[in-house]
Amino acid sequence: MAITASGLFVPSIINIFTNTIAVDLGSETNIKVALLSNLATPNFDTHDYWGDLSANEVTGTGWSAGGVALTSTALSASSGTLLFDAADVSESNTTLGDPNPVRGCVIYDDSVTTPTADAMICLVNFGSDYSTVDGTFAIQWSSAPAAIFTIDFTP
Amino acid sequence: MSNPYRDRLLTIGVLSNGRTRTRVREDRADNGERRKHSTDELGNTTTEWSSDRQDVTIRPTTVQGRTSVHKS
Repeated sequence: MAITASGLFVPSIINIFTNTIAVDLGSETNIKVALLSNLATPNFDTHDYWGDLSANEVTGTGWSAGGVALTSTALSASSGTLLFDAADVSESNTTLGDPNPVRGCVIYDDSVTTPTADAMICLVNFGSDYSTVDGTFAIQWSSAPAAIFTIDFTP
Repeated sequence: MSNPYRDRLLTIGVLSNGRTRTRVREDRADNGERRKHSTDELGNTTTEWSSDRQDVTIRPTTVQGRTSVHKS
């Protein structure tokens, strides 16, 4: 059991392409980021809904179950590459990581309800365990490239 | 057994060149409270306050997906 890599959930991409689910990454309320401990074992070939990993969610004071909504979400194209970005996350007065520290996060669409709720889009591996004590938990997304994830369609 | 020559070289950073290690910086917040910022080799920062408060700032790299095209 461990998070060893970041990645996109392939079944969700298939579900989008086959019109099984409708995902709006431009939503300002429904695209959420939830935290995971290193007890999670994501499978990018078989996992597609938040229920596949939510048993290992990290929650605590100042950070509710299900996570927080991403804002200023944006999809763009550059040189044949799709970029998805959002505003940095910052939640104050949090106490997270006891007993299980934060190891990564999942971005999912909270508005998807059928065939199963909450379609996962990607997982970001933080690379190590982190905890807060009555403090700020912040995620500063990459600025170079300015994206949470990219897909290069013209390799 | 300690080696005084090696110990001295370590303190002036000669043997640490090129190695990744946690960077530590201490300062005071606007309210005068002391803080220690530790940035690990991943670029993520844990800030410990004298009041037992602890903050975390994660700076993840972009998740990069790629497609492949088979050229005939």
